[in-house]
Amino acid sequence: MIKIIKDEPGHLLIAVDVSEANLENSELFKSQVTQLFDRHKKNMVIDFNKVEYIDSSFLGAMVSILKHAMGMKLDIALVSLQKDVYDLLLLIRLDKVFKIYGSYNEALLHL
Amino acid sequence: MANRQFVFLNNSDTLIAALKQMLEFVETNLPASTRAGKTIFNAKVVLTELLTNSIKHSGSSDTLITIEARNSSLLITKTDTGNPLSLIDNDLSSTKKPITNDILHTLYAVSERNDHLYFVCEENKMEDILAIDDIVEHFGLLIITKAADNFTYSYDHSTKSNIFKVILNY
Repeated sequence: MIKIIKDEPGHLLIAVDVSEANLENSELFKSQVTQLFDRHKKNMVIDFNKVEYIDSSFLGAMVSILKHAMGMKLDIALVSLQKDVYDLLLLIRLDKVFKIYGSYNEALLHL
Repeated sequence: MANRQFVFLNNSDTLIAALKQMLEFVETNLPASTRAGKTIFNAKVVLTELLTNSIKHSGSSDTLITIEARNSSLLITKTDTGNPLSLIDNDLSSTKKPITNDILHTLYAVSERNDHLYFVCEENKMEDILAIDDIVEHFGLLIITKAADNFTYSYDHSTKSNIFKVILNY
């Protein structure tokens, strides 16, 4: 479900390793990322390059994780979103609460 | 005008295959002049959330999805015999009742007549970014409401059926 790509001093880069992010895997995603926050206590960059579509259950898990991060004074950046995923975030205005960047390198400029 | 019915077995194992079949029908039957990309995106969003809603909430074994590709709009109808939406039990007569409210949106159910309502939402001013903690984590109805041009729910007592109708204009 989640792959750790880089463990840097100020952040973790992880990738979502499914193409359909939906109610089948949303709870697992939530628990794995929450554990990573609790264990590493670092900001998180989440690469969505492989994800072709997200449903409401997975979006709910993402918001829950963001709340968890903010409670720890940490943050989340989303990178490499495919068009349908980005358009869905825009539709329900989650681009107002998540930091979204085109690539990991672009996110690094703002971390 | 083309239309087709699909029976969905309300389990997540068949969701992706069912969705693919439905979207193939939509793609094949859209009038040539439509903005296909936008319509297909909205249809995918709506169908995904209707099917997910059935898996999570309907309580019935299957759901009937009917898709009608009309001259200027796509009509998606979902019918199941599961539990009625709890909103229908409340007194919504002539009211616009908020279902969810956070810094991003207020989603309302508006009752037009007995056992029939439609959904609308308003975008809120984000005055307090710290209120992220209050953002709702249930987006299904909101997503359908925002993707659709018209989204209604009715309950038919004679057949004990929940009927959701979504119109996407081309």
